[in-house]
Amino acid sequence: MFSWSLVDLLGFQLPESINSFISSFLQRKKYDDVLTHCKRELFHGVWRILLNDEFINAYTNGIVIKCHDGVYRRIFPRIFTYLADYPEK
Amino acid sequence: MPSDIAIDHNPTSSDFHSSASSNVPDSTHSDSRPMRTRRLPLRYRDELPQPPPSVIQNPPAPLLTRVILHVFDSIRTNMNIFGIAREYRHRPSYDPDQFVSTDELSNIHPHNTGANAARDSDAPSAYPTSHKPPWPWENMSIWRLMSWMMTGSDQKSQAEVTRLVKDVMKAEDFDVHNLQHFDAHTEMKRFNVSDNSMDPSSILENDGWKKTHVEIMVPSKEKNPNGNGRPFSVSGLVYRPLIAVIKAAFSEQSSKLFHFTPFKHVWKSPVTGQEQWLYDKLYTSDAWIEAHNELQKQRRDDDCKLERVVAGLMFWSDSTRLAHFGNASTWPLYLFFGNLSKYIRSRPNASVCHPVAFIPTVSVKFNVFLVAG
Repeated sequence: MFSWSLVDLLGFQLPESINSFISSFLQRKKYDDVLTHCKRELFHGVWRILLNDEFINAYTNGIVIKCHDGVYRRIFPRIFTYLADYPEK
Repeated sequence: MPSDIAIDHNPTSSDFHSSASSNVPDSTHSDSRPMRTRRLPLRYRDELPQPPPSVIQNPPAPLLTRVILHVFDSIRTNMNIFGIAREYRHRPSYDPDQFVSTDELSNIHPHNTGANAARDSDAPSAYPTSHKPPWPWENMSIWRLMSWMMTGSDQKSQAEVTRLVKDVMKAEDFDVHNLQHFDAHTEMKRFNVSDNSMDPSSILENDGWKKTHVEIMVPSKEKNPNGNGRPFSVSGLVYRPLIAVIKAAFSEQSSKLFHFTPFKHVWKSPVTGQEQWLYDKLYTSDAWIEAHNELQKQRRDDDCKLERVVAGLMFWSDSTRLAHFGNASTWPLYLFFGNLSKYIRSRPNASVCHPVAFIPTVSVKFNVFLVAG
């Protein structure tokens, strides 16, 4: 099991190891492009995790939920809106 | 429905309203001429919102209250005073609006504050914890008093004092003798210390939070037959599986007001008699109705006869600064359900916003390194 702390929620730092990792191939002038690219990749990566197979399966086949009135219904999640600004500008 | 009607209300206009709406004949008037119906000037008339017409309360029998069209088993409610009716493609299995009272549509009636206060006290505490009251305090009397202080409005009002008497002083386990050396400052300190002793991991795990890492590809300008760039793992994504959030939301008490069946809002002009669609909620939108109809047509192999319902997910994410100084920030992703009326959804104290993820951000260290490199 993971160990938890509130720091995990509030701020996140890339590990030191990324220094040697990127400097092995990155040139300074490409810095902005690569950083932007990484942020976008990270964002898409997060959504890949959130919209996992379980979600896709529920999207197509629905999930049966006993609603608060005691009636079973088959619920199909549909995404209607997504409100966000582009993070980190 | 109240939608966008601005209610201009002040005490004088309501006084006018009540005196003029009761058409009591003036007894000092000895004239035999017919009495004139006195009406307020238009600017003083105050149209209060009405609860939407109910759909299910009394099923088929009274034909007078609704018109049943023969096509598709559609059903249309009768119109409310604003000339607005609802039109369903098929009869809904459940009508959440039967629970909506006028009090919840308008803030003009002051007597609803007492009801609100009572509802607040029923709400479960924010932290599912194994500690039972009076923890962290010595006895139930202090627990009740301090709980009262920290919940409800931060500007204590008449309703708050009513709550003090009802929930604290009249409680069976309240005893003034327990408060002999009571000092709010000391008790607050005790509370803060107890906060630190709580294990955050248990809070998070109770709510089904998970922690994982995200694989990203960093372009390296190298020739690589296996794909684009080198993989790099960013750890620190904290999230709740969406399905678990949806399941929880649909079975908990607040889903009492969830709309399962979309409908069209129809407004009939009193002047021209023409009808128009109104779009005011997510579940009256064409997109929802389309998605809903699509689902009803869907063929299933398992012959499942359960009602098919759309769960309208509305995501919202925004990077939030946590402090005025420094770089402390978090990037939460929230989920709202469009099944809920916007009037309820947008209330800050309605507890209908579900955080689903805290997204890791690219750090300052990353910048420093890149510039140095």
